[in-house]
Amino acid sequence: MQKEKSNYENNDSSGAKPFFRRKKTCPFSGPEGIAIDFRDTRTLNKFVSERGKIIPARISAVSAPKQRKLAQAIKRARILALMPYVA
Amino acid sequence: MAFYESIFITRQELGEKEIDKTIENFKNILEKHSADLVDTELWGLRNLAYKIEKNKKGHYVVLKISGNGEAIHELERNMRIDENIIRYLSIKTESINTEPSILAKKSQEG
Repeated sequence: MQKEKSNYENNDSSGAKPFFRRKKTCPFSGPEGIAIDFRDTRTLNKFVSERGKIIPARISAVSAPKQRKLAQAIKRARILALMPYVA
Repeated sequence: MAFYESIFITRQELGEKEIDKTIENFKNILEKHSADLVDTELWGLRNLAYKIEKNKKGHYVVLKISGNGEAIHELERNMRIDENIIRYLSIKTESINTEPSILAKKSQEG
């Protein structure tokens, strides 16, 4: 029983996963990237949680330089009451 | 010379004439400090995401300015004095885009 389990784990780590997860890429980078603008709340709302918190880049897959720009834009939108601080 | 965008929100009770008057007043202040008011943009009466000084709505006005930091400093000082202005934000931009932004278009449609 124990042996079986370790075999299964070996298979899993060698890349034979039961499903294939496509790697997400940064939506703002590259030639077709969207421009980050604090006025564009429809886009910005995709990168905040239901409570209005900024989603970490490791989950949204935004690149580090773009995440800094995004955070700045969200904060500006909050100052102008276009987006909530807390929802 | 640098380019700035200065956005301010006025109280909801304010009429169009009073808003035009404040814009005119700011234009004079800017010109005194050798800055140019290149363009203005009105986003109209919008719902605020949260209450500011007991206001639920506000008129949004964007001033697009070409000038130096001193003029912006003086402009912000006057915005703080004006009680009809509930919030302001000045941002330095690389260039001035005279095309109406997303929010301005929305207010023209509805």
